[in-house]
Amino acid sequence: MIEFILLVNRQGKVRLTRWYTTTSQKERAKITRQIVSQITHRGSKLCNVLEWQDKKIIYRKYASLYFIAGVSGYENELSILEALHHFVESLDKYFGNVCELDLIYNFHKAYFVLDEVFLGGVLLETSANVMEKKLEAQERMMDAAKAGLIDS
Amino acid sequence: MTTRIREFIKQVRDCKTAAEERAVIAKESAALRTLFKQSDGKSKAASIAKLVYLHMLGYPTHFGQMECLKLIAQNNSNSYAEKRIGYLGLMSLLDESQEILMLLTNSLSVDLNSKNDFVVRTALGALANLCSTEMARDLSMDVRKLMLSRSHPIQEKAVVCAVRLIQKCPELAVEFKDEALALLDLKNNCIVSLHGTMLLGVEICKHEPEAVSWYADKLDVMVRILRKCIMQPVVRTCFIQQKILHLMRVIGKGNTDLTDRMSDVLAEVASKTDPSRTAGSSVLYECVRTIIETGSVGGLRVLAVNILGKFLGSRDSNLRFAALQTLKRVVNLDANAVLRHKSVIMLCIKDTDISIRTKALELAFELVSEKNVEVFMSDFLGFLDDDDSHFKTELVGKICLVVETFAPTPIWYIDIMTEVLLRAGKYVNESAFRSFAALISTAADDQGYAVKKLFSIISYEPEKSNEVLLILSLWCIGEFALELTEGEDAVTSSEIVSVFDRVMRSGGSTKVVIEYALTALVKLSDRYPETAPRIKELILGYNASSHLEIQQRSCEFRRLFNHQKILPQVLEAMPPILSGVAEGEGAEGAPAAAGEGADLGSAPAAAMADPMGDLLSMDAGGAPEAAAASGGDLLGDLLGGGPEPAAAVPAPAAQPQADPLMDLLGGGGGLLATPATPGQAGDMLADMLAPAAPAAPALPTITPHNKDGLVVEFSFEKDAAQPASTLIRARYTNVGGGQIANLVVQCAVPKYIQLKMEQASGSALAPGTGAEIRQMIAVTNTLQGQKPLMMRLKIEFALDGAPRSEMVEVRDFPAGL
Repeated sequence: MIEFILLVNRQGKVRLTRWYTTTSQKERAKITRQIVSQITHRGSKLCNVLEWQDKKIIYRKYASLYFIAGVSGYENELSILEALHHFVESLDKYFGNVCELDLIYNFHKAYFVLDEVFLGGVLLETSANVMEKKLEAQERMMDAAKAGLIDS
Repeated sequence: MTTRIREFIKQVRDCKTAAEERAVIAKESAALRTLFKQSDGKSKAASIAKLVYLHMLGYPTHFGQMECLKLIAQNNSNSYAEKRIGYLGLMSLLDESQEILMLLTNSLSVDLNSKNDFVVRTALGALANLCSTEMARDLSMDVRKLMLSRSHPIQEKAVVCAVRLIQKCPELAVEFKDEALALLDLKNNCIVSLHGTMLLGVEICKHEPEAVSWYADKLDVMVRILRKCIMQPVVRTCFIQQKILHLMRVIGKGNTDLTDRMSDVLAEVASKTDPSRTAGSSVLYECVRTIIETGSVGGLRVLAVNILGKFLGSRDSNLRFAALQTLKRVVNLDANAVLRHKSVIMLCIKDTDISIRTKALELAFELVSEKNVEVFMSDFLGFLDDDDSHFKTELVGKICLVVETFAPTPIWYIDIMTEVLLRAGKYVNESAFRSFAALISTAADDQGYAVKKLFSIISYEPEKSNEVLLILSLWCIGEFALELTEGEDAVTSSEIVSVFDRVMRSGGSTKVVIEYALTALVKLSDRYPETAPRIKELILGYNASSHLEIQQRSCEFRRLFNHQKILPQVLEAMPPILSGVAEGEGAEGAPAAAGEGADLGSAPAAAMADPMGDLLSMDAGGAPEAAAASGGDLLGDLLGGGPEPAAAVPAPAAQPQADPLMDLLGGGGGLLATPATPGQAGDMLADMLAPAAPAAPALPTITPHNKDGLVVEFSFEKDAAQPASTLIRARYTNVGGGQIANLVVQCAVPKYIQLKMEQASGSALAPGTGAEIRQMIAVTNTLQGQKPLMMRLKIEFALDGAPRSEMVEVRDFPAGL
């Protein structure tokens, strides 16, 4: 299963993180630092899987952002790659041509998308169209619930 | 006052330095803390969002956790937005180890039963992400109900949530049976929660062996769905196909009947899926794994291996990685099929990508067998020039292992290992090095070949050699020098000494090399008496060395030359090293093998222990107490009240530390009849070699263990009628402040020693009472005089209730036992 999902930019700034295992914040920071330093040094032609300790780190780079999944066990690496791509597509549909700034200023919304795509370390919704509809419905619901609580 | 979130983020981003950023964050954190302390009824959702941001940046946010719970606990018509932020906050700020989760369970239970679908979905999401074992137990009923909900989004989340609950609490797997199977029966064409259903199947089967048969009955349903998926664009159905294939793999493992029924659809997937995009290749990859792991034979497996072959030849490095990883699993089933791709695999080892290289290397070594080891080895040796030290360590370690396992002849072993040592000496680990030395020492026929080869390297190509190679060569020459001066390519003894001279003078030689050279030289002086004067001179050159160990050796060897009578025995060749003994014969053989290992691998270390022991015995020479035991005894006496008669024996300056060195020099020292000369401070070596006088009425007491308050002492008694037997009186006392209970002492001895242990007189020692436990151990050394007495103790006891366990190797028995 996926143990954690990380979004970092080229400078190593974390843009989104979600951990599905019990790890202390200190440990998380350490792992993040180590992984990011390894991945940002890899060339673009190299393969997107990195064996790191007992885990596999599967990542993909979109523009200046790295989408990283830490996976344990005998998982299908190609499938995780496709799932990351699926997540990026979902973000893209939701924000409309997503860029790093969208994720910085609307990080809570990015989290909502993330939690619709991945749940408890596994892929939840496999269809991009269904996903779009679900997210739209949630937006409407938020509006109905007088979503002025977070300025947007 | 807190700022608006957007402005806050902007402020943080505008910070030029880390210190500036910390200041902004500290200010905002303080404001947030104050805000949370007020209970003015205003919403704090925005503040929680800020906390999530702070957490992401790595700052402490624990003070906001209760506030998240408060947001979640609200229940009015407008609460969805607040709950959502509250749950988001918890999912980010918490992990399941925190106790606050206990408080969450109740809120979750309320929300899972909410009338608002969106609230239910949010709660399910939070449960799946935050679930702990207790929560899984408490909320499994609610989740089961929701799994059959009419709302697809809820159902979908509930199914994945169930997977998570089972992961956290495997005994729940059975409870989910009805719902899990009902999901497969839903006769709708909508495949919304199919992905989750399959996942759930895999998870249940993992924990509940019976579940495999429940799902086996549903195989037809799965096959039908899979067929339907193949008809649609793979991008849309790839995840579902993968999960179906995964579940098929789980239920089909080892069941030929089921595998037969799957084979058609598997072949269809394998042949109809387009691998040009990741979606397609991920399905193909999953399909191949299913074919291989279910043990399909014949055409299907050929198809699978061919697909992997195509992956391997692909330009996409991800596919190559996947192929290498999977082929490793095929090796056990059909090594020949994988061997066909050998050239590509070898190319992958040269790839620039470390992920690919390591995988390819692992695979290549899996492929090596007795038949092809020679072919493979020439390839492997070609990779030795690589620069990456991590990769090289791995490569060299594997080469050594393969050479050791599959070497067709000793000569080949010697050739390859010399080559490896020559080109990558510093990457050779100690165990491989030791096995090589062991091979040389046991292969009597090929010793000459090995020694000559090593000698020619260090004499003709000294610039190529390195520390590891030098050490090995020097050791071999010291031991088997006679082989060098015989047969073809024979060299003269003076040539050998000249090479030693050059090696020792060369600036590149380290201290360890010189230590080995000194020992080897002293052995050479015995083999070739004509070189002795020159060797003496060489050795003397180091008696003012600034390095303690070298100086000590030099001085000791100089002294040794004065004792011409004992020289041959002391400098005898080492017995062959039996590297298999340690693993093969378990506890009994271990001490002996460990001793031999120490002689070779850590000879300097073993020798290092000597001067200390010697100094001790010098100082205590005149004292009535045995030297080595003095520290422990005095303490024991103070606390135990009154002197202990058995321990207070007048002893000559003792020899307890002599054994390691004697062993180092070839053993056999115990028989020598040099008279003991206590107090002759200068003559260290003679002292060490002096045996206890055979008729000496009392032998010195030793203290093998003195730690954690527990002192173990051995005193000895000998029966004149049976010189080989010794009665050891073990005495255990407590000199610490803690309560010792459940004391058990066990003994292991090498094969040549017979051991009989009596029951101990007790097992508990209260502190400060002077109480003691006694135990008799009778040992018979069947090789008395040839091998020293040694044993390994396992001491187990509870100190103030905390269990302790110690292994002690006792090698400092008085000589002559």
